[in-house]
Amino acid sequence: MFDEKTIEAAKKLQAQWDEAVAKYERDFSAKTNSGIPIKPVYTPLDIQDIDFETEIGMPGNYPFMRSNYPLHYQFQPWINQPVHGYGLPEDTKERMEALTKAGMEGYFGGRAYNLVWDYPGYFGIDPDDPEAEGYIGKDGVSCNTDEDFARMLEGLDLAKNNIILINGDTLPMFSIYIAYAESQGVSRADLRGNTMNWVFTAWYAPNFMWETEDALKLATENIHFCVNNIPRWNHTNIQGHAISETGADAIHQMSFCLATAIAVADSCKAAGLEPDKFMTGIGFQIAQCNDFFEYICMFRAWRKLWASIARERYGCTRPAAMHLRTHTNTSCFELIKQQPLNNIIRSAYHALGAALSGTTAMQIPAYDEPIGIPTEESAVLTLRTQQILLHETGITKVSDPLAGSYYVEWLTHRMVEEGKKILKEIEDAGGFVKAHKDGMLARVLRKGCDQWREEIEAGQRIVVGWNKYATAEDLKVQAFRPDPEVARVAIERTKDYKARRDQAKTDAALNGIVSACEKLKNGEYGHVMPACIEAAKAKATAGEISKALRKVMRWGPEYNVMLKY
Amino acid sequence: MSKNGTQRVLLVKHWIDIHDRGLRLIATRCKDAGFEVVYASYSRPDEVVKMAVQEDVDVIGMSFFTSAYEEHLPKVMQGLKENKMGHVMVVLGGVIPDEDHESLKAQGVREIYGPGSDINGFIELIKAEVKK
Repeated sequence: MFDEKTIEAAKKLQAQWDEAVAKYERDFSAKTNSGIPIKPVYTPLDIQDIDFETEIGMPGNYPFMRSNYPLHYQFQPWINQPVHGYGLPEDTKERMEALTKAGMEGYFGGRAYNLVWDYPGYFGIDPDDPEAEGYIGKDGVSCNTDEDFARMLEGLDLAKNNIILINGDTLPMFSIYIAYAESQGVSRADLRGNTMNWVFTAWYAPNFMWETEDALKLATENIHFCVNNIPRWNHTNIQGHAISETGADAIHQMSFCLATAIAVADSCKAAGLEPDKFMTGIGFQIAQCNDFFEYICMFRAWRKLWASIARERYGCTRPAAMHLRTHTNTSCFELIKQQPLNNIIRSAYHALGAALSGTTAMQIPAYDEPIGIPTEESAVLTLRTQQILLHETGITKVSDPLAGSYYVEWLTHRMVEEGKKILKEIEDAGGFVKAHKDGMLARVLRKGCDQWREEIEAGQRIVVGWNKYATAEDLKVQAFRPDPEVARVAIERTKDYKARRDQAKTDAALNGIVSACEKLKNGEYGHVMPACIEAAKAKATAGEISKALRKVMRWGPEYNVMLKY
Repeated sequence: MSKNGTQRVLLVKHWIDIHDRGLRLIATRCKDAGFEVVYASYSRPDEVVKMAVQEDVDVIGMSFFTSAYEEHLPKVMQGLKENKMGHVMVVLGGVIPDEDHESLKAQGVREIYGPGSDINGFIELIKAEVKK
């Protein structure tokens, strides 16, 4: 990448530098958080073998390491995507309006409402089911019918705004959303937004419990439906954030996500879908954590690896099918309860890293999340963090501004190599599904999480306010609590909803889901989602649709990879 | 207590709770300390009681990411009492606001841990109060 003169000069100056630091008689080498050994300084010598044209290139050129687009933040900044949702749909609507009023912006005049469900909603349990007790509307919105969607979304232009449905078993809530939108005269083809398709999240965090092969079939069914019906819908969110929170370092977050995406994409291809069509709907939720530069390099390496997987493994030809769609969710496990205001500063650095990486959307956790769910004030503050970054720091003027840094290019290159190594290990172990079933992922994540804590306890990793500069009294932050009436109202509404419908019609539609699932079991796609939408139109609730799916698709803790102690 | 005199610790999150990083860490540490760990993962209150009886545990550690302990802790405490397991030490962990600690302790919870708590303190507490 450099001419001979530069290399000769670098060698000469490096030798002088070596001499200058020799007098300290100390080893100043260090390690990144992922354990990659690093030197105290980098020079052209470290990146002389990296070819500019093929390895670095320009933003918007394959392999898109520098950016998906020739220009990005210069005319279209990242989407503000704060996660919100609590209480009843009306409560969440209030939070949506507060964030809108505070200036939350999406792409080209629209907004992205990143709506999170409560745990019963995650797990496909209706509020009137005793299993929901204690969790209704607490850590997300309680919404399980088209009427609830109306309470939350009435008045919004669903063809213009992105509606993001954060819940675990995905298909039931998505079906009800589509039924609601169509009842409002919005054609499904015009909808825009995201489903998580997290049916396989149990692969890392043992809580969503579909049996692995059945999970893949359900995920593929959702993708099959979207490709054929809602081409713009982002159907799948590969959850790097969960992998990170569960114990992965930067290299493993990236590699496990890519391996997950490969398993999903292989399944889609086997179902007869065209990669150029389904790859555009796969996105990655990326955790930006401590070790500022490593996570930026991870991001750049991730874009490069994904583009090459899309082109080489799947034969994609459309740039859009090779682009890494990213939703940054800055680190949560590194936010702590002690001296909680410090978390605002931590998150701002994580957000800066994400913006320098060229992310396409961003969510920042609120500083009070180690204490409870965010207040309106703390939620708006996460938006302000993004707005200050966007408007005051000047970082949006230049694409991929760290490119060409000897260190950043060297580390990005190294992350690519490390990523390839892990992807090969997983491939050699028989693929991601098998590697998961054999406990390979769980082992890595457990080790990562134990090691992080041990390093803090040993003082090798400093956490301000926890193992250094600790104070006896922490600032008391009042935990936010949703209205205790929420559960009562949600239960009553569900019962009332069920009492008002044509039960025979609902039952018949739910039976239709069971028959469709039997086809899905045999590898026949294209029946389950339409059946779920039919059921939603016949006024089935999310919990009932989930239960119908589970009559055929295996769900339960016995399908989980259990950890042994 | 197990036959060989080791403290037995049951660790669990509620059935539909979420985020088990902390609990898994505690499991490792308990094992390192020589305790026997029954890792119950995600379970319902009646299952927690049943496992506690079957495994004859000395300590139950329950982790909650939400305030669902308000509803589910009393069920576990009641179940333990009914099964003559009232001696079992119950501790809580997770995201539990400070203002709830007093009422939880009044219900018989021995100690409450959260993000950044001293794990060795928990280990020492078990060693001191559950004698071999």
